[in-house]
Amino acid sequence: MLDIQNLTITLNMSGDPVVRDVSLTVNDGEALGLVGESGSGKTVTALTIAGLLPRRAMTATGEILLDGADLLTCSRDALRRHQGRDIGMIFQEPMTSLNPLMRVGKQVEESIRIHTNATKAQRRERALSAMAAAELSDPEAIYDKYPHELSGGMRQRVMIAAAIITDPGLLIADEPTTALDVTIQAQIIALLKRINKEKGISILFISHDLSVVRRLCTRVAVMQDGRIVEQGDVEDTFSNPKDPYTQKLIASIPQRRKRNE
Amino acid sequence: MKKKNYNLIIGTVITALMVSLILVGMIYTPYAPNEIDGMNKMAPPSVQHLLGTDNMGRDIFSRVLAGAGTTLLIAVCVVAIGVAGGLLLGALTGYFGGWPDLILMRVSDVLTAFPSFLLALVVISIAGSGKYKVIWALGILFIPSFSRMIRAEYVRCRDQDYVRSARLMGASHPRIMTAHILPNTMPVLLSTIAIGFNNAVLAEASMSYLGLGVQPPDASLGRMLAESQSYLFGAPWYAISTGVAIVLLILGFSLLGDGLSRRRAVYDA
Repeated sequence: MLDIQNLTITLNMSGDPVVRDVSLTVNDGEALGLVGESGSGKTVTALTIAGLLPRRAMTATGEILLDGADLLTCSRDALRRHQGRDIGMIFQEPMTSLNPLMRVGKQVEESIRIHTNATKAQRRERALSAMAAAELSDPEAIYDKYPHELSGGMRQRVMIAAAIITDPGLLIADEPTTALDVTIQAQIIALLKRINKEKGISILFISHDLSVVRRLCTRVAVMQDGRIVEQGDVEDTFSNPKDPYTQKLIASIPQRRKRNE
Repeated sequence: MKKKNYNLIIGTVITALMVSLILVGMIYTPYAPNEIDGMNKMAPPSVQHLLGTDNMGRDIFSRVLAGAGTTLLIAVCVVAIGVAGGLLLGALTGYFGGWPDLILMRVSDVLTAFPSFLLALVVISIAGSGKYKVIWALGILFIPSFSRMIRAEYVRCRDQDYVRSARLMGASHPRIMTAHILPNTMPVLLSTIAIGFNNAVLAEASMSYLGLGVQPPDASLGRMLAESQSYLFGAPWYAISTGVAIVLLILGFSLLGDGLSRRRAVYDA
């Protein structure tokens, strides 16, 4: 599905590369977790895959292959065709990732409007079914609402609906649960897991929260200072971390423990 | 606790009142605005002539309506030119940035450094006076201030998550600029437009007062104020009614603009 080879990214305003020699593979239908602390380069990696870093603001070497097509070197038009249709993305902050002055339904169907010639009625129908797939209750009513009328969890579901409406092969989730409270967080993770299993959409899940990654992903890659320090099966990595940084990260997960232990 | 936005309420009321009077004046005035009545020169306000007559016996009420209409029409055209140019330049420079942004903003810095009224005077003295020349001169000189506001809004919006997500959906730049960002600039744009009207009315009145705008015998508030000056003591109602009309127009737009930006501040908070 997604194959990243030796990706190195330097932002033009800073001298040092923020992503160094990263190689990552997301197989078809797989959920890969990318973990690391703030500033480790995970978000820059994700934005680059999504084509959201302006090309003139950075220098990237290596390859980002999406089904064999290199997203770093393809034309802008080709990139735009991949965006939205083959790659969907959800962001950390559901409060700002929806346009406050556009009805929710219009935002969900935006990708279809751009990439297909579907009629208004067809678009509406697909938007409603995507919203149902994102487990929004009463999509008909929500379709005509504005974002400020929805809760954070509902907005994140709207974002997910908008991201999966075109049935993309890859869904990039950049800390989608960080801004949500714990119960909503669990629901969103369960939803992503279902989307991954039932629709076969690969997920690149970016988080600093290892316990969340463990619940959703089958494989995990650990990033530190722009490098991937460890990559492997989630359970293996958790039970037997090899890299000292991974060991520290895992040790930092709060454990349930008896008081007097 | 919610404070009432009196500026917005009063501004809306005054503006609505003035605009509806002007609209009525376009269809019906008690007398033809340019009709001269030699028997009734400088008559004080009466039942026949609500605001009296001027030095040529023309009905001042009719002339104020017609004059305010001309002034407002010029203001509308000026603001329309300013907004159209400002939107185009502001959206492009704010959204794309880069060297065109730098150059255009420095040019507008230079233009802003001079009072726009002075620049309009220069343009008029080169191009000649007249209604349409005033419209173009003022309209073009309004572009920098509008483009500045609009540019700031596009800069603010272009890195918002919802714009990034629209871009990720494959939306083209024109679509992002029009469908996604433009509606979000409306709160700022509306209050800027109201303030723009305020400035345009004032600028037109000043131009015509100096005899550079609307030419006689047509009425315009500034023109009438200039004429009335000579009869300030003989027929004070002439200057007063014209002056009050200008004040009300400007006050209405200014309060409206201020009220709109306060409303925005409440929403942003």
